[in-house]
Amino acid sequence: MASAPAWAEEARRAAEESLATLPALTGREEEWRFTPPAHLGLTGAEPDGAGPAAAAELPAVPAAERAARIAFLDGRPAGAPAASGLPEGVVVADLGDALSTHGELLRERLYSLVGFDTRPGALNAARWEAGTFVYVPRGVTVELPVEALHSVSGAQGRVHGRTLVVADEGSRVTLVDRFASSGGASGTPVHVSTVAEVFAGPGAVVDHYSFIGWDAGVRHHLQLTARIDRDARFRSMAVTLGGDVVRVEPTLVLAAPGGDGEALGLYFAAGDQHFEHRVVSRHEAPNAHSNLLYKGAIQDTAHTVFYGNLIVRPDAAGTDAYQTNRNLVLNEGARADTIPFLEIETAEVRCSHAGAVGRVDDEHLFYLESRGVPRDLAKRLIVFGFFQEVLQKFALEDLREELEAAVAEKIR
Amino acid sequence: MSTKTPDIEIGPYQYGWHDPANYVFTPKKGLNADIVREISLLKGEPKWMTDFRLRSLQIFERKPMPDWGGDLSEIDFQNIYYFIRASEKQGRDWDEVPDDIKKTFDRLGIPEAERKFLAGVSAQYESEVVYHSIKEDLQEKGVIFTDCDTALREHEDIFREHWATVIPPGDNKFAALNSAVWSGGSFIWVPPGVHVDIPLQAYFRINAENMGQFERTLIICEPGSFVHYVEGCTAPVYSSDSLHSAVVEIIVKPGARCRYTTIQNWSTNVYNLVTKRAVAQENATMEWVDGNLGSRLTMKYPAVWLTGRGARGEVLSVAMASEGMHQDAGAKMVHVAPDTSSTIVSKSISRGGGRTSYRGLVKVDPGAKRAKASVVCDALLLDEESRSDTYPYMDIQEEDSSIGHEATVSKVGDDQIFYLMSRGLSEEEATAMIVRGFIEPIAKELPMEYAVELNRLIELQMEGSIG
Repeated sequence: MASAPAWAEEARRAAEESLATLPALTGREEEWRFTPPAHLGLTGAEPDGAGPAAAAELPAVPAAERAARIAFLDGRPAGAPAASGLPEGVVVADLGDALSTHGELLRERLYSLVGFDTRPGALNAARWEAGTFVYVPRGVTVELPVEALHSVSGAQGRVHGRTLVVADEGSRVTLVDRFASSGGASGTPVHVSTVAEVFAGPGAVVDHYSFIGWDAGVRHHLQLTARIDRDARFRSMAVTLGGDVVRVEPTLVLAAPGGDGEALGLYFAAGDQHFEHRVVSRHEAPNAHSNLLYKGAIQDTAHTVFYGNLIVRPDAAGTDAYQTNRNLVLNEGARADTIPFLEIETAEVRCSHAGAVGRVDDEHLFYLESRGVPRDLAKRLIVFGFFQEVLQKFALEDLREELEAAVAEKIR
Repeated sequence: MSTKTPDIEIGPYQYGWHDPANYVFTPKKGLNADIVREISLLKGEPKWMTDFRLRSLQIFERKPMPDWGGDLSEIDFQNIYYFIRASEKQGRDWDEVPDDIKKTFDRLGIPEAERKFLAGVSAQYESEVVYHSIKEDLQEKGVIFTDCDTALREHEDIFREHWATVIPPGDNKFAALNSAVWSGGSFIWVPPGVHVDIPLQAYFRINAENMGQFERTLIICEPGSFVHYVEGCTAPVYSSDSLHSAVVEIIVKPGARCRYTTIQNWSTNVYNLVTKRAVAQENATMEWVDGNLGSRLTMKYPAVWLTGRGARGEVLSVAMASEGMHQDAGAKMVHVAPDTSSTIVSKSISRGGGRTSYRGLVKVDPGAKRAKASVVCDALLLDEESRSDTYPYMDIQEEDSSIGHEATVSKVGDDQIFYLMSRGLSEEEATAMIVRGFIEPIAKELPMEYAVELNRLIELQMEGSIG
């Protein structure tokens, strides 16, 4: 990594400063009531500086066609990005390198959506070394998705990553963030912190997938904030299946009129997994649309929390916003919390939200069993049917098939 | 945090008068162990109650102020009277009630309801019950309807058995405060199988500057009984903030049913921080009907703990916030036993820069099989400056349950207004009509005089609301 420019060093110092002055998290804060910050490695002493690079191999991923691939192991670049036929002007690079090579694009944007005013934000800003930088110039369409693989070997107790996507006016791009362990389980838990900032410029269309498929032993805190400009469209599709403790925080900022934001999510928690999804849509400008739709299944003694908030600021008249969370509890001992908030500060709006927790319907089971479908298969079909509403919105077919297989694996 | 002076522009407040009151006993402002001991001593309470108060005070001092909900930063606990007695002896019938107090009640329009079918009046003026009558048929049925101070003296066994069993002092800071300095409030005991046909009513009022009111209500419905208790509040306007922090505990025993109706219309300088909770045992039914129309800040979440198989809980809540008001109201349902069901219906209206928040919890404990819960929140925003929030919490720890929540926020539709205006209504009338229709599902659950009063109050608040 080339030496960082002065402004980046300055931001780094400010993040350190913030880290030193912000009060420690106790877990009694309202936003930390459900997932103890200690479980995400946000309290207590930090591990000593980064250890030696691991010799682990990257996990195998399905060989779907991609415009570019970039990979990270333990928070460091694992080889150079592989790009085949990216349109001219499109950049897919390591964010650490981009500090010096694309400073003019980063300077105003980096840390502007996820800053260091909170402890987790400051920790990431102060410690990250590498991540994905995607830039798509005005009017350019990247047909195939860009895929980033984030992996941990277990050699590092704490891993950071940072992503920045800049889609200029009228451009189109899809980014897939895949999180997977590299195998070779270690005794001590790995704490992963990733932050993504996405700028969807006027009229741009940006899709983002995050597929969290960690093995046991990984704890992950993911923050993603997208700024949606005039007439832009942004979709976040989050799938959470793996990891011991996972907290995913997508935020949509509807910054200009005509913006369209969607946050879709699927989660399936089993064993003693703990997942918290905090999904926020903040309308700052008039006449924008947003939709939050999360569905989850919970089995064994797992616990999931969904917190959603539609915030409509005073000058966001004409807002059209919806929020839905539905949960399927598959057995006794599993637990689901759902907390769908609305904060509406202007009158000219159409907003609604719904949250529900239910079980597999006996009548549905009975119907399938009466048709000769064994009970466990019937249950699996019902869970699939339940997830279908979200899955069918996934534009990437190869990913959809992979997810179906992963869910099937888990439900057995 | 707001640091504006408490000098709020409240406009022509309908109930904003106050009569000069003759206080027989007026202790110093402020709160400490000596004042708590003095209150207990003046009331001639048994030692266990004095100890309970002192223990509660310690809890109050230890607990931090809540950092959620509304803005509580301007409450100064040392600038409040914790006990005032308006007249030395309790009136046995209406004639013995002091004239100036009667006059206050008259201006509230109480007789309207009272003349018709008021069974017993337990009207709280200042900190103590001054008027109290029980109709003979209630007595014949064995129903005890009195104030908590009297109940402690005359029915100590029943009182002590149930006291603070639903809301212990450690529940929250304001429950602890109430437990330390409580005074007055209603005590109702309904014997097994007794059905009280007519609503029991009590009126509350604050009438001294900087006076806190800390009444305590305890209702016990023995198995198979029924009672409907109605509580209404209005308060005069004063220049500095008043604190109202009540505790209401209700025990609904197997097969019994209790309905508790409140219409709250405090003036816009009152902090209304109330803890209300009921326990519904096997096959019991608890219904809260809660109307919040006034106050500077209300934080009130009537709760039902469904502890017996087949218990049912219901909360119907209507809130209206105008200028300078924040209604942070809602409901809590905790399903502990199997086959329990609960319903929450919340309707809120914000106008003139007011803020309404629905804050609720539905919790299903492990083992509460076949629990069913439904939450519906609808909010109406009448102008651009107002604000509406919905904060529902759902914590489900039982697979075999069915829980749903829905909420909508909308503005009064232009097409609705247009339609009504084309039929000859003014814009103001049309808006008022739509608002009345919006709260209709709750208004129809109220006793008739209250439904009329509610509609009238909403009309008053709607005056000049077209902008």
